[in-house]
Amino acid sequence: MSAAIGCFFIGVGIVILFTAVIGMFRFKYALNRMHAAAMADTLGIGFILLGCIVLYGLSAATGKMVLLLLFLWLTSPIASHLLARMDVFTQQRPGNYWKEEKR
Amino acid sequence: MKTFLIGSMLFLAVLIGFMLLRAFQGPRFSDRLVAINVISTLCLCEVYLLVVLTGESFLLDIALIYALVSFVTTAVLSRIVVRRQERSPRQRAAVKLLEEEEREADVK
Repeated sequence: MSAAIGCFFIGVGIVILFTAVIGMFRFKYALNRMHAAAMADTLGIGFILLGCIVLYGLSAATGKMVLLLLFLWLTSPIASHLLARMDVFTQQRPGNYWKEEKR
Repeated sequence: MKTFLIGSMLFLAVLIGFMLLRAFQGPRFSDRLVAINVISTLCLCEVYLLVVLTGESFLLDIALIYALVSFVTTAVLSRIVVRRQERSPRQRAAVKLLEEEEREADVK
């Protein structure tokens, strides 16, 4: 029973990661792509870790997995923020995105 | 269960290949960095599935170090690029150009 539940969670996580990769190919700009990447960073890896915890059973390693998940959830927004800041700063003309929206 | 885990790991490997393609053809540096970030996430998923498949919990330490290194890589690279850009005169010239354009739009 627990094996089926774990496999279900891992399957959901893999579907979310696949969606993120499709988004990376379909979106046009780096700031749009970051939206898809953040989905993989939080939801996809969260579901896969949940499935791994269910499959592995309760032990010290499971606690380590939860700590890793917390670490990822703390650091991925910071990394995304730094990336977005870099992308905006390195525009040829700052404010390109909004200018194109207006036209 | 074992076949499911092996199949999902193979699928993740294919996704990593596609992300490598994305990192190769990204037009700008930030596109490539976003793709590398997603590759590190996918590699972490692979390590977790390997932990469940083999039952070896010491691989989790490797995953922890991998997550740390990927975060530090992103932070340091973006910091370096932003610093270099702030120091260059091109950024200031671009800001001046934008302000002039806005002033012209106001006049119209």
